[in-house]
Amino acid sequence: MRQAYDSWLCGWRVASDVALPDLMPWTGDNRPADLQIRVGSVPEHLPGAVQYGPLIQLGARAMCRFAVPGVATYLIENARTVTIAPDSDAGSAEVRVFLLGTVFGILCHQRGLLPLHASCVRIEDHAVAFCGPSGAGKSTLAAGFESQGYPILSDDVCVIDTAAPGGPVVWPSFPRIKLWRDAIDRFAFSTEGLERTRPTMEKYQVRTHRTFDIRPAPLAAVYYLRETREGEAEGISQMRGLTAVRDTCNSVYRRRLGRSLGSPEAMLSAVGSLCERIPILRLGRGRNFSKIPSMVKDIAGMHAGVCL
Amino acid sequence: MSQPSAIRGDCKVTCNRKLPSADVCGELVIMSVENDKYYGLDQIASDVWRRIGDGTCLTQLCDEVAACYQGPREDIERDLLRLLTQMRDYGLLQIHA
Amino acid sequence: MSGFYWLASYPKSGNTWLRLALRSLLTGGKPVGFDEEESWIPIASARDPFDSVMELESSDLTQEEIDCLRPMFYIEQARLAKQPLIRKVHDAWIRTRAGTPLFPPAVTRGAIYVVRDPRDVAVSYAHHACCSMDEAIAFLSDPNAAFASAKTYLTGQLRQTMLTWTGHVASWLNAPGIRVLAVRYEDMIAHPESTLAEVASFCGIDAGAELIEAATRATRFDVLQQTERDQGFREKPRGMKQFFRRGQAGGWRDSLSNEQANRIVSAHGETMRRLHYI
Repeated sequence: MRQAYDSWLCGWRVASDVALPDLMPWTGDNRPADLQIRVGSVPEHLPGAVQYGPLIQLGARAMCRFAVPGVATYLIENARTVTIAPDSDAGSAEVRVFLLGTVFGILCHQRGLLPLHASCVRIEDHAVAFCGPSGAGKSTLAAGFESQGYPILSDDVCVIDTAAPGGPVVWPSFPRIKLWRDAIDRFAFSTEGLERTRPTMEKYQVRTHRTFDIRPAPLAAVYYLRETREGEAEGISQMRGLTAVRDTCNSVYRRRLGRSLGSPEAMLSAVGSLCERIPILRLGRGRNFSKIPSMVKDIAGMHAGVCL
Repeated sequence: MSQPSAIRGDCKVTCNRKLPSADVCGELVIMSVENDKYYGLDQIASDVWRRIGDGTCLTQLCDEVAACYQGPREDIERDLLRLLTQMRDYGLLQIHA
Repeated sequence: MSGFYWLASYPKSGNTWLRLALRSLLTGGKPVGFDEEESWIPIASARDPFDSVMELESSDLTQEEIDCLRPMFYIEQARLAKQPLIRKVHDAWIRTRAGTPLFPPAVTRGAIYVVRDPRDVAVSYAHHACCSMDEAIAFLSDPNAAFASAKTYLTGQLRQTMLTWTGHVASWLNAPGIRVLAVRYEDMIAHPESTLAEVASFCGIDAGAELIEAATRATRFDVLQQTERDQGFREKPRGMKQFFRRGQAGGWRDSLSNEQANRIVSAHGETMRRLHYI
């Protein structure tokens, strides 16, 4: 059966039963879909599966079941098909939030790509990624770049092909930034017409389709963003060896699950090759975000006009 | 935890080869999946790790290291023993009597 | 076998001192540096470990949903660990909407509950939160008091429901189905060695008198104050002058008016009597 929606997700052609307005429309060739998204039922227990954590079962033949209580259950098969069993409306924002979150991460790991928990922006023809712990301001900084005309490649999940000939390359994912109310207010965006990620949460989905560019971009740097402690200097410093590898490993999106889907060796070697070729930098920011415009300017200046 | 003094010259040292590792600009980063921890070996420690390989006896390792690095033999032995004990305590290698 | 020891307390009740002393104990009585990540005893409500173990972004979940998943998170964390885990806790011992204890008894090896005279807690909290004494007193009596409950931005910690001071104390001391060791802050200050020995034995840590003495020496209040001056203390909120401020019992007499102290006694008198504070 032909599916209703034809979308683009980091170079994959996605055929879906439900509208995925977060994604770019497919504009490529006439190839068969790389990924199919269906609405259907998902079994309570996958045959022969092991329970991996409270919400996930891993079955034979790369089957993976992921349940978000009250939202939806997702079944991923062969890294090609996702079946969604929604608890309410399949097309709702909250069903898409976890589809484009954990499920997307699983697909990346299964397809041999390295997903970093990072926002990523395009500066000229280079990709610059921002990792960091929860609340460090990855999305807010991405929004800062976007508001100054630098397109985003990703908000949450930055997809890297570490084995690309010529060095690591970032595949743009989709043109959406999730922003909390305070960040929305900071950029003086209006929440009017913005979809909430969850009906009762003050967190919104900002669409950036207008500036989005689907061309993959060579990765120029990975910044590890962190709020400085009092008395600690803000600014940029280079990380090497152990700290670079450790912080990058810890920034892999769905890191533990990825190690189970692939292998710890494969993940460490992907991260190791990244750290050997790309500068991994620590970026300390002060408490409030008042300095975002100057941070954007400084970082953009460092990466603009640089020939890799 | 046994004391370093329990380590003798005829002890056999083997690397825990199951641990994933990555070579980043000359430094070896070893991952302990079990503890979810990463250990970085500087250039000298990386060198020692490579020399141990699938196994060697302590005296032979000392000889090799002493031949490559300058300094009084007893200092090198003491530093090496300290390094090996630390690496053993982190689960990176085994020292058998 | 794994499982948790919860180092629970209402905020500003001496949890941090006990945590540092335990840490020194577990590292052979060494001085405690404030900048070493390795042996830090983490808080149970940290967001990133939750996301890592649950394999989703808690920032996409409501606070109620997170609470409902937290028992599963702790059970899974205990399953993954080979050794007992020690966690700092400021949440009250509550049940989720589904009726499940937030801290499941099945993976609880024990709880050490540190309690402190609420009049001193109020003074310390006012310094911590940079608020007035009256606001701090009101916080102690607020049944909806919570940490990290912001709804318009993301915090590094999950929401912690505290209840009132009295509610917090009762929730832990009356928690069904778990071993609880109550430790009074005041006793900890007056007799640090015997208190630490009692806590160590409760946690199954084999510590001789020498080790206890070394750990106590390493975490004497003036030592911690000096370390804070030298290295800073990462858990100190911005704007607060000094985390290790006084470390005294009964200091409230210098900071609270009679009326303010009486307000606390009238709100929490029954529990204060139970703990011999009045």
